[in-house]
Amino acid sequence: MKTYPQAVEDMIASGHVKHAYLLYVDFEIPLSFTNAGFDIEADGVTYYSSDILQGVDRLSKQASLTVTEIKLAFSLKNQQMVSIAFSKNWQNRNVQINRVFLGEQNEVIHNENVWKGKTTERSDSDQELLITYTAKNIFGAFETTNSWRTTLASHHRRHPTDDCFKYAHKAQEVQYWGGKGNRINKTESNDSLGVK
Amino acid sequence: MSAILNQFCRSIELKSNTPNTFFESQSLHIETWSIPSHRWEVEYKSNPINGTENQRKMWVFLNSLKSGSVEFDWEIPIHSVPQGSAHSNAMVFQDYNAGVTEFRLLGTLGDNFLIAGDLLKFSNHNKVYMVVEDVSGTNPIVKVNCPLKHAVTSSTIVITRNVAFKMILKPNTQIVSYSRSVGSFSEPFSAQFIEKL
Repeated sequence: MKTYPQAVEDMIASGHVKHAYLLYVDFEIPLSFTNAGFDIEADGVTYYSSDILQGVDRLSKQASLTVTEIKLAFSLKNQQMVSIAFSKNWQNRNVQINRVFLGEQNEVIHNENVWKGKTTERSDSDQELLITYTAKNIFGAFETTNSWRTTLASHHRRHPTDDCFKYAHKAQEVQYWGGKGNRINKTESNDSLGVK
Repeated sequence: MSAILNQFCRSIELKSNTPNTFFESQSLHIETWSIPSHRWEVEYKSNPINGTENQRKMWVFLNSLKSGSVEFDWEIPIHSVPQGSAHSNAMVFQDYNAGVTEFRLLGTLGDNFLIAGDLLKFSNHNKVYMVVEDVSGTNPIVKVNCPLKHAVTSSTIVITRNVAFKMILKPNTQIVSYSRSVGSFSEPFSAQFIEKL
């Protein structure tokens, strides 16, 4: 069951809730933005209030094994953002969206995670000077074809020094008990073991 | 350059834009979820402009704003003038984080230094804030209408007189021509400006 601190419960009960979203994308140079009108610090990270973050899809959570995806749009008018956006290792990066409840002086009184996923696609538009990332939640991985084969070459792409699949092909061979062509004669076997 | 706007101003509508979403029950109870952010917006209406020279000045000014891509400073008639004494610029009493809506000023500033509705801004950023309670006395508390966009330190200057907005033409505003009626007066026009954050 979800529980909130008393201050948040009081705020919700009052009918006026002050909140903001915090977006964190774990690129090689991480991106952290908020949709509040000022920078917010939470858990040692500064979330910037900036026009670089152009939009985040509406979030939805479902109590079923459903693939949910969101789109994140960033402006490309900032040079640093351009270099981050077009870096090589952009796929499968962690995306986390938190919601913070804010007190009287806009201090963070509660911080909760509302969505987690990984980047799967990106597209950019010269017309709008935007780059859009698509992120899917963990169930998105079930829809993709697993390219990780049980061969040494495939395994080495991820773990170059690990030879655990070196003899995997042997698993396909039929192994006879006691060796091929020497099938056990029960009587003889029993005799040899001295069991009557 | 923005003086031309004031010279031929017929009316100014200053709007306060605070984003929020709300839900209404069938029994008409309201619940609001707000994101703490703020922007000033201005609806400007001109008088008829007399004379070709002034008309061209206005036309050049509006065109120089390039549909929202060029910022300009604007002391808005009536609103930028304080009703309190605001006899001098003040200083922030101590350090404050971005997001706060209350802070103290340093020194003895006298009665009615600022009156609710007066505007102020800080020397380290461009956002304009409106005072929501009268400010008087020694090291007085100032309450403003929206959270501070950036942190301020104890040495930051608070500008209280002739507070200029950093504005842009609202990007979807289309002013592509001006027209003249018979005689030397142009037709009045309207334009929308928004605070550059």
